[in-house]
Amino acid sequence: MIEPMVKVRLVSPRTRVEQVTAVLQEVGLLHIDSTPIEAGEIPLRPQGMSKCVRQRRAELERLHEDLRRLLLLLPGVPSNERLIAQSPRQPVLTEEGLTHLADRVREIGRHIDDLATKLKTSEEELALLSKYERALAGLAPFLQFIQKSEELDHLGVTLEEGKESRDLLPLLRELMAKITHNRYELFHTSVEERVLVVLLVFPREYSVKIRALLWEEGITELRLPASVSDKPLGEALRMLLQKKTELPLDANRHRQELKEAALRWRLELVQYQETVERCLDQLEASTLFYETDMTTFIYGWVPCCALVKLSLLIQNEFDGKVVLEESPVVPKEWAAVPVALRNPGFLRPFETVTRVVALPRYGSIDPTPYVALFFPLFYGVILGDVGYGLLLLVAAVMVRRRYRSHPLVHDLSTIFLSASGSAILFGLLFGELFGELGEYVGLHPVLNRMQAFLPLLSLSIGIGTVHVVLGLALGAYSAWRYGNRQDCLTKCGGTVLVLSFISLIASVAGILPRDWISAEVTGLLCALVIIFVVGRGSGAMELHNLVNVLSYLRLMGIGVASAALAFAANKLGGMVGNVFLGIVIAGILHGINFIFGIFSPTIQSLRLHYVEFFENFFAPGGRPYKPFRHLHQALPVRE
Amino acid sequence: MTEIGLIAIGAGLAIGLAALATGLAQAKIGAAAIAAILEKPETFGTMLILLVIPETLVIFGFTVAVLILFALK
Repeated sequence: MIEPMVKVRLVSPRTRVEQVTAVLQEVGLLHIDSTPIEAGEIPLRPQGMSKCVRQRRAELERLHEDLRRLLLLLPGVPSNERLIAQSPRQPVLTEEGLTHLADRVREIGRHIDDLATKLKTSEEELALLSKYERALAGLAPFLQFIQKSEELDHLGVTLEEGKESRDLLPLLRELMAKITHNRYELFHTSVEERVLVVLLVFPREYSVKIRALLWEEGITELRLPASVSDKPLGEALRMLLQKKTELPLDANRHRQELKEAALRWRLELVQYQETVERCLDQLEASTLFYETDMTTFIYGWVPCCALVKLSLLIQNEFDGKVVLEESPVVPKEWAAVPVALRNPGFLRPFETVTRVVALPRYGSIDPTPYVALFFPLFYGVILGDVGYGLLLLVAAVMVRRRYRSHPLVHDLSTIFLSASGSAILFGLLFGELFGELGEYVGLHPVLNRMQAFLPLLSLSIGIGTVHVVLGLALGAYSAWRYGNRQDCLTKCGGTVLVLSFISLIASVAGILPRDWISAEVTGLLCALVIIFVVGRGSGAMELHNLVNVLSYLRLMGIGVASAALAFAANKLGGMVGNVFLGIVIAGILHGINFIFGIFSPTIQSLRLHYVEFFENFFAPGGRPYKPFRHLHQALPVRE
Repeated sequence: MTEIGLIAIGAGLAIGLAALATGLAQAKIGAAAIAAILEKPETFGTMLILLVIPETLVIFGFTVAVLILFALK
């Protein structure tokens, strides 16, 4: 059902508005709206955001970004830390409090940044060292010689293979020879499959020219860690080689220090983040408020069942200085009322099926209970096999256990649990266990799907009639609630039309007594008169329901196809002549049929709901109920 | 050709042509629906409805085939 809502107005002195906002956020029940009903009576103006508030928001956003960055630097994210960090009551953050918080974050941030930089440097050096280790070892003897020379300069470059590195090496030789008049040495070694490290040694007088040339050709100089980047290449590489044993130890020490920092500060930072997020949410919400010179007005919607709780809380918290006024919702306001679905626990998973299309509008009908009844029924009629039903049951239970914390998957597995139960029941009715194997275990079909086509056809039409007529009845009720008498009468005419037409066919076919034919024809004519006189042009659409009833024949059609595939699987398995091979072949074919058996009945059942059933009464376009609360709070209505 | 053969051909044509028409319709709707869902994922429900609408054709074809085979024989 759709949760009944009540419209409320909170009137508060402007001086208390921050406390009121904090309390509303903590309670998490009020869907704040900006719809002042007495715009003409009281000179209300939107509260908006003053320059001072905008500055505060900018400061909070900066702080939030800093906190997010610091938390990313700290290792370990326990899944429940947000809950642990939540204090039962968040006080309003004053200017002094905000300054203090910012100072504290800055202070902690300095420590964390320092540790993170050290770790990053160690890791970078380690990575470079491991990458160039082979090259460094190869180049080390030359570097020693170069370092002692005052006339020679040297340069390390990396050449990446791929597109042109193999061509670059001769090119480099050619250019070096041209610039230095063959007074150069070039050593190279490969560090990875596609990367060459090249050491160029040349007279110091050509240094500028060669560096310019490399830059023009897009050849990268050997990248060195920041700690040695200002040193000449030879010295830098020697230092790196010396640090080879120290670096892993350094990195581990810094990692450990960061872990200790996380243990010390992480929870505190998460708490600050919570506080800052709450403050930002409060500032955003306050833009929807209205005010006069002395008073603030907050408008919104609250579920009827939560009104007393909110009212008492406001009364106790502000001792009568803040007033909560409620007014009933009139039908002309229904379009603006937010919608929350509230169904018993066993129906709640089926809300997912409703939400796939849209949320129903306030004042209309929530189809969830009907979906919960008919979806498993349709699924069972189509699949109708004890074996496939049991397989689906096992799969649904396994998925349910595996994804306990994933709401959508949990809901879907619940839906399939009920669908599998229905498939097993109809399997017993049809006497099917992986096709006709049911006969071997003593299952006797009450209705054999491979033979009793006409009874099955009647059953499908019968189910379709009930479903479509229910949809029309709900449509008539909905129209009556909205005060649309014409639509209500047209829907009633449509109901009579479908009932009399189907019973007329049944009487002609001999299923119902032939004496009823005259009454059925009269009913049919009356229905047509109502539809075309009351409903006029749009009434003709009701004729479409006759086609809709026939659409339920898919229950029989898809079901028979599924049974025929199972029959074929057994037949092919039996034709092999080898028992083991036969079982394997039949098993594979049954597996394929089972996969079809999951998707096909689901899609067909959904279609029958969305197209044939919903079109008579479902009014999509409901605004979701979004109470003002912190992101990590649980939704209180469900509790 | 025997009478039963003609009945079988009739039933086959009833479901075969209906399935062909459904396939052609669903191909066009499916392609457009995929494009729409990529642009607006929230339209999935509506697109699913639109995609399965032509399936009624093949169901009617199947029903006619069953009637030809079992009721009119």
